[in-house]
Order: sequence, then structure tokens, then C-alpha cells
Amino acid sequence: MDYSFKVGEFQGPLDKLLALIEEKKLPISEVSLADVTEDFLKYLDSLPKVDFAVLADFVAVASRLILIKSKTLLPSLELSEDEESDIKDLERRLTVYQELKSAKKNLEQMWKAGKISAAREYLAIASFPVFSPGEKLNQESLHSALLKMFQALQKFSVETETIKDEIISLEQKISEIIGRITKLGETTLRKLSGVSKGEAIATFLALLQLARDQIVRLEQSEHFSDIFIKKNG
Amino acid sequence: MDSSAKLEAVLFAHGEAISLKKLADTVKLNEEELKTGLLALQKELEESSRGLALISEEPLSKIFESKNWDAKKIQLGTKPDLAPFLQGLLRGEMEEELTPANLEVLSIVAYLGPISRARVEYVRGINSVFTLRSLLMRGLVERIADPERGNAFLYKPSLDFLRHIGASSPAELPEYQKFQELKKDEI
Repeated sequence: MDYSFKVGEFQGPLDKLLALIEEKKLPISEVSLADVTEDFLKYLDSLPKVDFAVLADFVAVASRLILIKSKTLLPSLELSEDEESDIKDLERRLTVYQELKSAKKNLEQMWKAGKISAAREYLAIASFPVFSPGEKLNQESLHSALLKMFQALQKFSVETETIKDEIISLEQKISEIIGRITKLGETTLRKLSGVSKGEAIATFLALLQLARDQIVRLEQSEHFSDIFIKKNG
Repeated sequence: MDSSAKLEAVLFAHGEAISLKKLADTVKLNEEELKTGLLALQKELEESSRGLALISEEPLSKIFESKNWDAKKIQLGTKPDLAPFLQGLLRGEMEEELTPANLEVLSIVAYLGPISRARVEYVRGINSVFTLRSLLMRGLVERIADPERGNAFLYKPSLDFLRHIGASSPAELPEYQKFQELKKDEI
């Protein structure tokens, strides 16, 4: 945000003060400053709502003006060394500010003249891909990188092997149960199930299938007790 | 091969402003060779048969006098007078406007810089934080650490700004010397 912009056509207290003095065609001096004090205060009064920082800058200049004015009205008024140098300071700054006007004009003219010197972007010639393989790129490094990856993958495949069990087919289990039952007439789940968990599950699934097809009848007296299997019919 | 040819090639290839140190390191020149090479290049470019110019933070003839000359930047640009022939290419850049506050602060920084924010505000009599910030963001001014006060900054015109107004260094601004004297005496 640019607060100085909100002060209308003027950019600051010095700008306004100089305008007031130049309006009266006065030189920059203590006398002229005393002369425009009233106008400056009037302007300060009429300032629209501005930022406090901006207002403070205006008040700072106003206070010095009032000091100058009091001095001209009351010649007997003794000013301290600081106050005197404050007044001199304001005069000096105003002079510098007046000088700066030509600097501003110069710049503005140059800006508007549009005599731009064009330049190139950073490394514009290198905007296409630049072949830069780096020092470490060679056959060995490629090979060893691939080898490392391969070894890492191998670890995984070994692990899969350890969990791989013998595959039990359901159909095989069904015909096995039918075989046993035809031979023995009846049996139990525990007798049929082998040692492995996988086999027990397969056996159980096979029994459910057989029970559904009404080839066997299942009986269990209580929860978690052994299941009796009898041939149907 | 002349060192001025090497310098021209590096400046062309680099495009952006480059510090004298990086330039010297790249071309492998010592200070004296760099100075002679750059001055020779500048002289050649000044011929009316050439379309380019050297843009630097300080006039080339003086740049080596400063203590931190190797941090100063230099850039190859087109001659400002040739701008009309580039108009179609530069249209976007030419339409930028300056507010009165921007213009005022910019002229203080260009003519009196490197200058602290406090000094800018002293000269203007008004708080200038926002204006300086907006100029910084637009790349018109640059901020450097104050060599005398570690925690303060100094503002100076950017090379991009100098190119924009067609000055090959701040010293080329009209009445520049007068304001430098003013700086010594008054502020």
C-alpha cells in the first residue's frame, strides 16, 4: 500500500510546503517559511483521513513552522540551540527537495522516452537441454546400481518362498473324504485333518461342500467338540 | 583470442548481469586484464556499427577504484537508441507506469544512492517504507547491506532499471554530478 498516495496530489509535508512557497514566488528562507505557516496549518486541517505515520510527518513539519512563526512574532523569544538548528535543518531539506525536482523531471523524461536497453535472460543459450551427465555416470556405476536393486528384490522373493505351503486342492480333499467314509462308514473331523492348518481348513471346506450336497451328515454335540461325519443314506 | 572477445562471449552467454568477480573467474583474467579487456570491449561497442552496450553499476572507468569492485555487476544490453527497432518485442515493458511517489523515491535512490531508508525519508520528509518496498518488488531498486552498519540496508538503482531508462550507469543521468555534490554537502 502506498500511503503517500492518499495525500492527494502532494506526496509529503515538504512537497506541500515547497508548493506553498513557490506559489508565492518566495525564496526558501525563514521569513518565507513564517509566511506560509498559516496556509500549511490550514492544509493540515483539511487533510482527509490519512495514515497516522503520514500525519505525524506533517505534524513534525508543522511544529517547526509554528516555532519559526513564533520567532517572527515575538522577536524577544530566545530559541535554544537545538531549536535553531531544527529551523536551519528544515530550510536545508527544503532546498535539497527543491533541487530534487529536476532529478525527478530527468528521470521521468528518461522513463517515458522508452529508450530501453534490452538484455538477455540468464543463460538464454542454454534453455534447451544441456547434456550434463555428471562424473559418476559409467558402466560400472550403472551395473552396481542395478545389482543392488536386484539384491533388494531378491530378499523379498525369498521371504515369499518361506510362506509358500503345499497347495491343497479342494476336489482332491473331497474325493479323499468320500474314500475314507465309504471304507469306514463314519469318522470325525479330527481324524481326517492332517497336521497342517492349511489341510484342516481344506478338510473343513470339503466337508461343508459334502454336507451341502447331502453326501455326508455332520453332527457336533457341543461347541468346539469334534465333528462326527457319517455317510448319508 | 583477445580478452575483450572472451569477455563479450561470456557476457552474451550469461545474459543476466554478472559480478566482475564471476566474470574474471570465468574468463580467467586478473584484475588488470579484466579492466583492460572491458574498457577495450566498451570502446569497440561504442562504434556506430555495433548494436550493443555495456551496462554497469558504476562507469567502467571508475568501477575498479571502489573497494568492493569485484561485487559490482555488469551486463550486455542493446543500445538505448536502438529501442525503437525493438518496440514490438518490448511492448509489455514500455507500458509500466510510475506513481509520483515511486518517481520521487526512485530519483532519490538513483541520484543519491546507495542511500539508507532513513536518508530517503529525511529528504522527502515522509515515511517511505511502502514506496521502497514496492520499488524493490518491481525490481527497480536493489538493497545491499550497509558496509558501515551491519544491521542496516542501503538502496541503489538496479541494473534492470538503468537499462529501462537507457543509462549505462547512474553517472549517465543528467546532472548526476550536481546531485552527488549535494549529497556530500547537504545530506
